[in-house]
Amino acid sequence: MAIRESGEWLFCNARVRYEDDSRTLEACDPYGCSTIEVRTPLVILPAPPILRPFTITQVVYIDFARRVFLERGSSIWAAVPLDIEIIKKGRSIARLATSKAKYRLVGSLTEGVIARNAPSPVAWRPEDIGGECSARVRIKVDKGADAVEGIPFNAAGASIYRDKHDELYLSLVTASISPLLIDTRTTRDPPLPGLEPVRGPPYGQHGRVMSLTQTAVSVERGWRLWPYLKSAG
Amino acid sequence: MALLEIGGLVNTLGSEIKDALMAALILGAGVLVALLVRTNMRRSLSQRLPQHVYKPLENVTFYSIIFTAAVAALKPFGIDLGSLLVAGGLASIVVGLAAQNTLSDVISGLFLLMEQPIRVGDPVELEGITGEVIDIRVLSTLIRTWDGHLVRIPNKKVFDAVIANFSRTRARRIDFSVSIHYQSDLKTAIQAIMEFIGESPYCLLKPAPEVYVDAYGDSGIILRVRCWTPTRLWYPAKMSLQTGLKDVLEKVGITIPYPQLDVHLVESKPRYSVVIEEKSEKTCNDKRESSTGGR
Repeated sequence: MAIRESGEWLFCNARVRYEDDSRTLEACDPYGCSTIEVRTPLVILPAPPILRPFTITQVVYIDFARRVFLERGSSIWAAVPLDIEIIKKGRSIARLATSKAKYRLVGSLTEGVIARNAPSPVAWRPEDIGGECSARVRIKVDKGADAVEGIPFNAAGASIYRDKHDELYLSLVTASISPLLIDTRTTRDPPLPGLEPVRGPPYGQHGRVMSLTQTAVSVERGWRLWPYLKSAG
Repeated sequence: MALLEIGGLVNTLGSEIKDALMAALILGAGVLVALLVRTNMRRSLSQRLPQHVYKPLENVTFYSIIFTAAVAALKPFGIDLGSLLVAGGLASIVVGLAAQNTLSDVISGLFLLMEQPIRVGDPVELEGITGEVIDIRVLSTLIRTWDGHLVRIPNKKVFDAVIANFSRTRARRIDFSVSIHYQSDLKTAIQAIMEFIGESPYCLLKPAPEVYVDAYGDSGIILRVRCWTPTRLWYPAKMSLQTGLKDVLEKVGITIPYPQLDVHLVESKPRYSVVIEEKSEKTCNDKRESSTGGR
């Protein structure tokens, strides 16, 4: 969606307001508001829920309400919340959460991974799941069988698609399940035929964050020899 | 004859100066190349590799080039590293003994790079110093303490030290106590704290947080609050939880007690007669009046 003039847009718990006179964009989510002075056009795009409040993980854990028995060849649908990005000339200038995030440790303290927790019911058909500010995810079991409490997957690698009703989908996730390990792979493939691509990774790319002090130090250290060479020449 | 001798001396001196110049040139070129390589490595690798990977690579490459240049700089003097190592056996022993600490620092530095008990960027505690590892150099390790001082620790000490590395696990526990008044409702307090933790994005769902009675203190019930947080967020999480908890408890009517002491007075007959203070005051006044009236 593109912003070209003044207005206010709501996405569940997130709000975006643009004032053309002052060229001010105000973006608010459950964690606070930020204001930036910027010119239109701006683009608002959905993103997997890995951007707010912290970019500490690329993994989302779909937390099922009850244990689900998954076997080879089965395919289930779940819903994950979405974050929102406001983009100007390919640079992410604001990132918003549409819901409050909780994280969890999946696996052991030393070998495990921190994942964004996404509680979700389980459905066997896409029509039975979804909701505002969320995307449908299809998990297809390639190998193994077991009862599982949840599925972790790399959301940062997922592409986003939409159907003709503007419902959003993440790309297909395949899983291999064994009693000790759930191994998932995020593909770039649409979970259903006939979906239109919205966007793909990377998400939250705001360019290189430059710290003035560090840059100055790096330049000074990097080119320390040149003044001597110049004076010698 | 004398002229010939002077000529020979000048020639010898001239060739020695030439050799020295050549050695200085080689060494200078080596340092220049090492600096350029290091700068370029930093520029290209810092974007792709984490700091703890590219920094040691950068250091090893830098010092290897310097070492090669130093060896090459000895050549104009006719000194070969191989012959130096063989011929200078005794000198090597003497130098080795003198430079024992330095050598052990170098070797410890190599072991540190191989074993990697600490890496650049890790928050650590070693030798009683807590801070972030800034650099692991050939001879020493640089640590920036939390209050901003740079501490240089010789590598041998680092290698021998008991090291607590706070970043090697995925999550770290926050653990603190809060005291509530004996007259406050314990269940309400525990529920309010659990809800507060539940809303905080810092505290992980799993491992689950804990709130329990740790002790019955002199002034109040001491509750222990524990929650796990991603290692990188430990400090902001601790600040946020400890600061926010007072408001949370006050909102649900829980009082955080002051240290207090109940004194129970038991009535009993005095065993001795009480001194009447009026009398003594009067006496004082009388004395004062008599002293002033005398004037």
